Amino acid sequence: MNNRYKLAFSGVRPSDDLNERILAMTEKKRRVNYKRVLALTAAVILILAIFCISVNAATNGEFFTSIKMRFNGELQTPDKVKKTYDTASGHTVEERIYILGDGAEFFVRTETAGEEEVATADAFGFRMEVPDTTEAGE
Amino acid sequence: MEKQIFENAVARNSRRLFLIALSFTKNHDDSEDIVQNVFMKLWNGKNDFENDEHIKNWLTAVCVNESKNCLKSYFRKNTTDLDSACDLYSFDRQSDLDLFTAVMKLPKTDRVVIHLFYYEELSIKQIADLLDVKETAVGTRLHRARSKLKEMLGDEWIHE
Repeated sequence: MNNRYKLAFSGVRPSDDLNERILAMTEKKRRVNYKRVLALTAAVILILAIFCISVNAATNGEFFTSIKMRFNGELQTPDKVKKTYDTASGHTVEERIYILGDGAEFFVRTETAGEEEVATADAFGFRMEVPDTTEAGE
Repeated sequence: MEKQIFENAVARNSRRLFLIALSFTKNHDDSEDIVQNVFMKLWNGKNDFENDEHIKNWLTAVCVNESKNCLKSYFRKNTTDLDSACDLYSFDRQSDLDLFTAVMKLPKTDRVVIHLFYYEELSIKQIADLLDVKETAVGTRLHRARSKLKEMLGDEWIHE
């Protein structure tokens, strides 16, 4: 009976090109969905930004100031980037250091909020360039 | 999956799977769609097959499931008229056409069982496992299908 049944069904066939169609489907390369990749990247960046801002707010700004920077092989601590001290005349001076340039030729410019003139900050360990305030005043 | 193994699997199994799908759907186009889906699953899947027999069994099981899903699908194309379906195929003898037509006239459950039993040469237990029914149910369907075929074709088809 098996042979009889198989013989009867021997003429029942799929389309001649079925196998070709199947093999052709495997040739199709998977397209990269750039929109999806962009959306995912943006979402990750957004989540990270929200996380950082939240942590910074929760730590009263300590989070960002605690981020360490390394220039010219030297680790920059927050003390060196922002320094506050009292002068002999009783003024409190806040000194901000801006690191300019890159590589070995970087220099540091300082700004002060008080009246006292700030000395060249060799103590920071950098080759520093202090703005000439007298020229600016004239 | 390696391309060569896949191509061999397509060459050896596509027609066989088409007939299984046809026994479920009685529709040429639906059956071809099912076969394509089955092979896409094979291509995209990450199954480790031990040998060709393992691939064959896996394909059969997936084809049965795909066929069941196809019949449930709302978007399924309408079943073609049996006469027009017969026009798609060529039969050497009138008795072959008669047997095909008689099998296609059987209810789906009986038709599938008789195809798996006589064409795929699966045991009653294997059919029961594949269709997720009891062995006694398979036996009943097989007996009922044979009786109906005998009724339609006479005794000679069994003894031929």
